Parts: sequence; structure tokens; C-alpha cells
Amino acid sequence: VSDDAAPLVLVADDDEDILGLVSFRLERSGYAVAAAKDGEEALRLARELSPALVVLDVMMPRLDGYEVTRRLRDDEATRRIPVILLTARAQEADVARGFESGADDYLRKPFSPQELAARVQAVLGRR
Amino acid sequence: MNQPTTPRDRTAGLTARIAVGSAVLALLVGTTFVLVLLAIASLRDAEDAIARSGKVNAAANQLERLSVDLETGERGYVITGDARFLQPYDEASEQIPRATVAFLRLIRDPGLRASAERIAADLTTYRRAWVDRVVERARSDREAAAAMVATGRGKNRLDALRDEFDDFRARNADVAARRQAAADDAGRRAVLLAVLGLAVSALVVLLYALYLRRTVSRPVTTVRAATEEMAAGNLGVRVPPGGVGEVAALGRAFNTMADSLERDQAEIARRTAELEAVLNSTLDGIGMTGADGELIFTNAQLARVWDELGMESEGSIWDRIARLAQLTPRPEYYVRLFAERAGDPEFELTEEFELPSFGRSFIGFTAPVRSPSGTALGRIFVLRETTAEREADRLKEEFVATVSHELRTPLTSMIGYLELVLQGEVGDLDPQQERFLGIVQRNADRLTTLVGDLLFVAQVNANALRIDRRPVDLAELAASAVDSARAAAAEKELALTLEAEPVATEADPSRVAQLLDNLISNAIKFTPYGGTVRVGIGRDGDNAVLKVSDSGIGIPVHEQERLFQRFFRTESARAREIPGTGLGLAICRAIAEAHGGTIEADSVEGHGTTFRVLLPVVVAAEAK
Repeated sequence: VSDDAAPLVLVADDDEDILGLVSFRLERSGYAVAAAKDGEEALRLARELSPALVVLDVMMPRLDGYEVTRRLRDDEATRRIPVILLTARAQEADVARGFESGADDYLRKPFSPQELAARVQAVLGRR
Repeated sequence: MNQPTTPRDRTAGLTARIAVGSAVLALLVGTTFVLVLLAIASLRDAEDAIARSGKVNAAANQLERLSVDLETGERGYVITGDARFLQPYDEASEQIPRATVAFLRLIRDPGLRASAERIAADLTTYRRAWVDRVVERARSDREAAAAMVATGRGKNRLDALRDEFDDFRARNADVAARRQAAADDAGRRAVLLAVLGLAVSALVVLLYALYLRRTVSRPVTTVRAATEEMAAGNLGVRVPPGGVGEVAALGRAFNTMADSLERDQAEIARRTAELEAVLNSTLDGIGMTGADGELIFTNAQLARVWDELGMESEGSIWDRIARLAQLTPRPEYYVRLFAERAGDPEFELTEEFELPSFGRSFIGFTAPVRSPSGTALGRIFVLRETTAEREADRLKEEFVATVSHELRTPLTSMIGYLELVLQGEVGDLDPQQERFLGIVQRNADRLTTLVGDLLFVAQVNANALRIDRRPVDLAELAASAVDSARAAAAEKELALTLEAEPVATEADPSRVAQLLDNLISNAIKFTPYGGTVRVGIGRDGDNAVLKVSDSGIGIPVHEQERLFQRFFRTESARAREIPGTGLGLAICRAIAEAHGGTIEADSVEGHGTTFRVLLPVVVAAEAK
């Protein structure tokens, strides 16, 4: 359903259901979506595809969301890609940690897919 | 301490013994002196008598000479008729009465006296009855007088008288000799007495000294030596029984004191050992400095931790603490703190710190140590390892995070897909489907809230609740909390009001909002239709006051104190089937306390409840 003009959003979550949910919602909202099942894959795809935005789950096997964010920020090629973190943790400290690692926004699970779409739009709109 | 009972001395006391000894000695010396005096007096008497016997002899000689003069004068006159020859006679006649009286007066000896008086009588008789008569006759008739003289009777008489004198002088010499002997005797006796008395006195003094030495001096010396030995640390020393009276009592008292001291010392040593054992058995490292700041005690645990941290055990305790501070993530803070406060005798500190290079954490505590009467004894230093607790906290926190993830991931899919379906993203729903899915969604939301509450409580339990203070206006937070509760209030036709003055402070906005949400939704739940719920924000001194009052069913007094316990639900809440987990107020309390505040409930059953939260107002310097 994606056309060439649609911005590409890379979504990474180890839970396939959530991956499907987010992909569905974002595609419906008019984005092209690439999906990754773990942090390493997310990092690789981000470098390969240069997406317009990355949505990262924090708790992922191999590389967690914070680490992926940090590595994206460390790499000149991916430095400018906005990141939205998704987390099941509820701590304020986690939020702070997310922003420290360089995330642009932060959403707690469970979240409303519509809310996520709005955030994606907002972050992309800021650019 | 009970007074040791010593048997009362049956023998006389020391004072009495010394008194008796001195009295005996004094008596002895006194007696000797008196006896010597008496001997000297009798010697002097004897010497007087000897001197007198010389005078008696002289008096006798004079009297004899006068008697001869009488006769010489008489005969010369009779023969010559010349009155000049009468001169010796006249002079003798004149002197004889006086000389006789003087002679008699000199004589004391009764034997001599009889003889002297006979001499005096014979002399008088010779003079009157013969010499005077011859001279008288010669004055008138010299021939007749010469015839009288020629008879030789006069001469015979005189010769007899002179024999008497001889005899008298012999007697007198005899008496004088006896006197001399008596005087010699008395002198010898006096010397003998004096020598004997002195010798006996010296002997008595010697014996007395020996006695005192044996009964007083030696035991006292023994006690003194024992005292010195005890002072040098030998508490086992005892003195043998000896001496008399008070001295013996002194020895016994010394032994009693030594027993008591030894017992006390043993008791002190035992208690000290016990205390040290206790201090060495505890988990905490404990050190103590004396009043002068010198380290006087270190328990085994502190020494072990010190060793494990590779710290040198040199320098003052503050030097060591300074070295320890170098291992913490913020040494400058501690260096500054100790520079400012270590000299303060009242300085008290409880501080938890981490040693990242060892992966260990500790609570350090120091405070002055005082005796029960308040005298400063020194300072205690305690080092308690909290590594295990911090590790437990970390594990709990990790567990909370894992559970949180595991519960929320499926909820995310449920709620997310439900939303897609309800929004008609996958086709239209008939009203029944929509209603049923709405119920599913509502319960999924409830489950989400429940999971959130449970995880919150678990965090509090794991000491993992952190608040993120930022400048907030409590009135604004309250306004938005009230706004989001309006719908629920309207459903029950409740009057929901807010009375708020702006209170700027630093607080965790989401936590305070959560607290207000909990209190307001509670109030709405427990207030019947048409009631009122009032929210108030204000200040009371240094505290911000958050108040939520309702006209609800109230809480019985016996339930009020358990209100803030986790999972506690009032009987009426359960009876009325008002939904809830019993976590809301526990969360409120945790949030209030995490902000350094308090929460309390004031309720009258049947009339309503007021929850009052006090949060200390915190104003950051840069916020001004």
C-alpha cells in the first residue's frame, strides 16, 4: 500500500503481535513500514534503509532499545534519524534514560495505536 | 559491696597495749628515780652526820680545853695568889655555859647524847663543887686552898672528866664510822639502784621495741609491701595473719579488700570480654575513639572490611575515613563534609555510600558517645555493609521490570488491536459487537490500571520508587485532576468543587497527579448520588496542603488506622461491591512519603471523609 512518496518508518519489537499492530496502524496512516525483530536487525536495517523514523521497543533481545538508539546516534549516517521508544517499564527514570540515550519521544505500553501514529506524525513534522 | 565481718578482737587493742607498755616503762623509770633519790637523800643525811660528828669532836675538844683552863687558872691563882693567873679561869667560866649548850645542841645520836649530858653535868659539878669553891677559898685563905689542891681531888676529878671526854670522842668516832659505813652503803645502793633501774629499763625498752617490731612494725611493713605489689598489678597478693589488734585487723582488711578487688577485676574482665565478644559477633564494623580522638577499639568486622578494601590501618580515624571517601563516586563531597563537621563534638551522620570498584555498598554512621551522666566518652563509628540489600533491591527492581514487561506486552496487543477493531479499521461493527467489545476494552483498561498499581506497590516494596522533582503548581495539577474526574462525578450527580490557591513547589507531577486522581476517584466512589466532593489546595506554613473531602459513607474508627495498608478494603466497600484493589491509598501514602510528606484521614461514619496530604514545599534556588 506504500508508494514512493510515503516516508519509511522502521519498527522494531520482539513481540510479533505488537509489530503487526504498529505496522498496520502506521501503514493505515500512510507510512511505509519496515519491521525488525530485535535490536541488531533494527540497527542493520536502519543503516541499510535510512528510514525517516525508527520506533523501538526498549526490551528487546541482543540489543535493547537504549543501546540501538545510542548506536544510531553514534553513526554519522543514522545520527539524524528520529527515534520513538516504546516501553513496558513505568519508571520515570526509564523515561529519563530514554531521552538521555537520544530518543525523540517515548511511549508507554500499553499504548493507543492512534496515539502512536499521532506521535510519529508530530516528530516527523518537527523536522 | 557488703562489709566483711571481722571477728571482734578478744585481745586488747593496739592503743591499749601501747598505753600499758608505756605505763609499765614509766612506772619502772619513775620507781628507779625515786629509789635513787631516796638513796641520795640518805647519803646526804649520812654525810651531814659525818660533818656534824667533826663539829661535835671540835666542840668536845673546846669544852675539854675550857675545863683544863678552869683548872689551870685555879691552880695558878692558888699557887701564886696572883689574880692575873685567874684569867683563864674567868674566861672559861664565862664561856663554858654557852659552849656546853652549843655542844649539846650539836648532838643528835641518842647514845652520844646521854654521854654528852653526863659530861655536861660532870663538868658543871666539877666547876661549881670544886673549882669555884677552891678559887673562893683561895681569895680568903690561900693556904687552905692550896691544901685542898694538894689533896689531888681536883686533879682526879679533872682526869675523870678528861677520860669522859676521851670516851665521848671514841664513841663519837665510832658513831661517825658507822655513819660513814651507812653513807657508803647508801651511795653504793644508789649507784646499784640507778644502774639496775637503767639496765632493767633498757631491757624493757628493748623487749618493748622487739614486741612492737613483731606485732606492729613487721605486719605493717608486710601490708605496705603487699599494697605496693598490688598497685603494681598483682591482685593475687595476700598478707599472712599477724600482729595484734588494729594491726591484725589492718592485715585482714587488706586481704578482704584484695579479695574484693580480685573479684571485681575478674568480673570487669569477664564483662569486658563479653562486650568485646558481642561487638566482634555483630555484623557491623564498629570502631570507637576516646575523648582525645584516638582510636581505642576496633571490632573484628571493621578490621576485616578494612582489610578487604585494602585500606591501610594508619593515621587517625578521620584519615582513614578520608581514604575510604576516595573510593566513593563523590570524594570531594565527603572531604568537604568532614572538613566542616569532623571537629564538631555533636556531629552525627548516617550516610549510605557505594564503592563501585568493589561492587559493595555501606552505611556509615558516626555519633558522639556519652556516659549515662552525659560526659563525652568519645565517638562511635559503625560501618554496615548494605551490598546484599542493594543487590536484593536491584533484583526486586529487575523482577518488577520483567513482570511489568511480561504483563504489559499482551495488554498492549489486546488494547491496540481492540482499538483498531473499534475504530472500524477492519470493517464496520454492529451495535451489539461494538457494545461487547466496549466491555472488553473497559476491562482491559481496568486490568492495565491494576497492573500499574501492583507494579507501583512492588516498586515501593523494592525501594525503587523514585520521584522526579520539577517545578509545579499544585493548583494546576489539582485543576486537571478535577477536570478528568468531572465525567465520573456527573454520572453520580455529585457536586465536585475545587478551591485552590497557587502553590509553587518542586514535586513529581505525574506522581502528585496520581495521588490526587486516587483520592478524588475514591471520594466519588464512596459518595452516594447527589453528594459533594471538595478538593482544596493551600499552604500551611512550610507545607502544601492537599485536601479531598466528601460527604460519603465515612470510615468506622476501627478501620481508620489500617486504611493505608496495602490491599486493605473497608467492610462497607466490600459489602457495597464498590470495585477496588485496596492499593489506591497505599499508593497515595507511598507518594506522599516519597515527597517527604504525610497523609491522614479524618472521617465520621455516615457523614464523610477528609483526606489531608501535607507535602513540604521545596523551592529550588534557580527557580526563584
